[in-house]
Amino acid sequence: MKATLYLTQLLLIRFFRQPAVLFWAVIFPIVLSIVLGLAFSRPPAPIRVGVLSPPLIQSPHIIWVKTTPQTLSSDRIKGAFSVFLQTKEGHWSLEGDPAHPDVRMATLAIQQASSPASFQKIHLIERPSSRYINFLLPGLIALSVMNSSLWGIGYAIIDMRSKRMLRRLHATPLGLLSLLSAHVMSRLLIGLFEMGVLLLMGYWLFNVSVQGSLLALLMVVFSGTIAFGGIAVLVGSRTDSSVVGNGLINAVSLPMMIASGIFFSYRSFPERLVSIIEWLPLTTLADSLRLICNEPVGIQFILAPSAVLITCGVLGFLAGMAYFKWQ
Amino acid sequence: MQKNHSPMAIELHEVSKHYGATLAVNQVSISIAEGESVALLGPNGAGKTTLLDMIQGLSKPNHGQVFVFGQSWGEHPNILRQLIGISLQSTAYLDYVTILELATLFAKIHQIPTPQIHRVFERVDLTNLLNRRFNQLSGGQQQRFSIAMAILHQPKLILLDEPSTGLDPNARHDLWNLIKGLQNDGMTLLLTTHYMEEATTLCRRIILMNQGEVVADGSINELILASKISQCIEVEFQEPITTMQLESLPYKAKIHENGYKMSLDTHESTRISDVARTLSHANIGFTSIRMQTPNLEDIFRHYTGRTLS
Repeated sequence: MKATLYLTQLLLIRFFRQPAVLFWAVIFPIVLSIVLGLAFSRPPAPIRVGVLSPPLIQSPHIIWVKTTPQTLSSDRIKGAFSVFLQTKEGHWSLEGDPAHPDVRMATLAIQQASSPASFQKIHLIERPSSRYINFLLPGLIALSVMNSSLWGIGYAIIDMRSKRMLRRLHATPLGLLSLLSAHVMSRLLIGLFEMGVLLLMGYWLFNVSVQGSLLALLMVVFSGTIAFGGIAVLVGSRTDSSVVGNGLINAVSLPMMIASGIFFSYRSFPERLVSIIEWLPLTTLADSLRLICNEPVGIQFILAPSAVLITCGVLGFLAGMAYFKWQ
Repeated sequence: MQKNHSPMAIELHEVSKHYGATLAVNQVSISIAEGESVALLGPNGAGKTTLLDMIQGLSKPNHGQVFVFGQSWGEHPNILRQLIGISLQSTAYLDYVTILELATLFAKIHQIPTPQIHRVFERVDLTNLLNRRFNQLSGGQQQRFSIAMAILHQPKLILLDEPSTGLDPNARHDLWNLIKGLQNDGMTLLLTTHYMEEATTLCRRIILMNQGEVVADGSINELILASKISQCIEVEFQEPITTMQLESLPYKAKIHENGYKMSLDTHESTRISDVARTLSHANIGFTSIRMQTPNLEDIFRHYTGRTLS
């Protein structure tokens, strides 16, 4: 046990002595959240609507871009406007891609501006947790737990194998369970550190605070580390080639990074895919973190997802141990 | 399986190991007594490291049995791991940690008290470098650190895999002195090498391996006797020797370097002065003449038809 704890300590020392790793694990997610947080926190720019002659309505959400029948086509191609308003005999029609959000927004803005009375009944109540940063930050914590585990455990094991350190350790009484547990424990502590840094940064810069139970938050991060730690052990269980290891880790992490709704909601995917995406470990982790960060929920709300994550991790860990190659 | 009556540090019984279709070790049987120093000598791919792996429990034989101090690896492997110290070929230890931190890890694994770490570092002369990282050490220092980790838990058997490969002559001699010190402490030593000098300097017994098989086993004198390689006399000429001149000599001779060099297989009783007199009588001028006794390289070539390098 002393050896396992000391190996955990050595792995932590190693982590904090590597400036490049520190940058990617801690500083990069912070920079990413600041950039995305600031980019999506600004009020949306007014929509540029092309017209032959500006109508007599005014809206703060619209900029009228005057064009002529001769220049209409080229103005549209050059991106002077994405929506064109045509007025003919009292009928208004909007030309544009129906899937483009600007067209929908322009429709609403024009309706609001032309008949403001019906819109006066609607009051906009600002809800802080509905901001993009409140969506992004828990996603980034989940992403950091996944990357930290896959690279910090899976790749580290492959690297130790390729450099014959595993072979050397195999000749000592240090067991496989001790070796792998030390890796997972060190990553759990690093994961908690990274989460702490991201939450502090979110609170300081964007006034994001955790609404739910702190214990639930710790439990979810613990479960997430177990899940990805187990997957990382399986990924790193056999190969001694860093190139193959790189490919394996990317094959596991990239699809989840894209599909699990870290930066944007996965609800935009077709319904059939969503039912699969919801079961991915990164989705489960990110959704649970968002729930705890943005709603005043207790530990009982995350018991089921935590159980799913821990089961996934334990299965990966056991499979990794069964297939493990020391050299 | 246990063989407690065995006084041997290592016993291999008809051990074979293959990787796919490649037979790495074929029907090898060896016994090494406690306190013996043995060199396992052979070219790259001879099966030395595979044999060492099986002795240190890093891989299992496909056939045959391996006993270390009378015990097989199937039972109590951790007891055996405490009895064996190993230094592997080109191991890169954890980066970004100091050698003292690494040594502390090995000490914790073997449950060794901290003062023992400093005693071992003193012995391998690394006390001044405790805060260096492994990759900041020179090749010789890295090997000495590797040996320090092998002897940290005071094992009875030490296995060294090509300990001086890549070292300069000074570092190699420092390492040999360190290894001689371990032998004086009574440790059983098995080392693999492809350096003749290393094998003859450090070990009385030499096991020659080639293509997965043991081709000879014994002291250097025993190997020479068993090989029946006779000593030879080498003669160098100013002008190439002619066929007619060669036929006039009462020796079985081999010509090298286009006739400028000749080696004569001789009996133990043949003296250099006899050969010189015979050449003078035959009016054959020569620039040098010397006695060549067979060395380990000759023996290896004799058994395998290959050179070690």
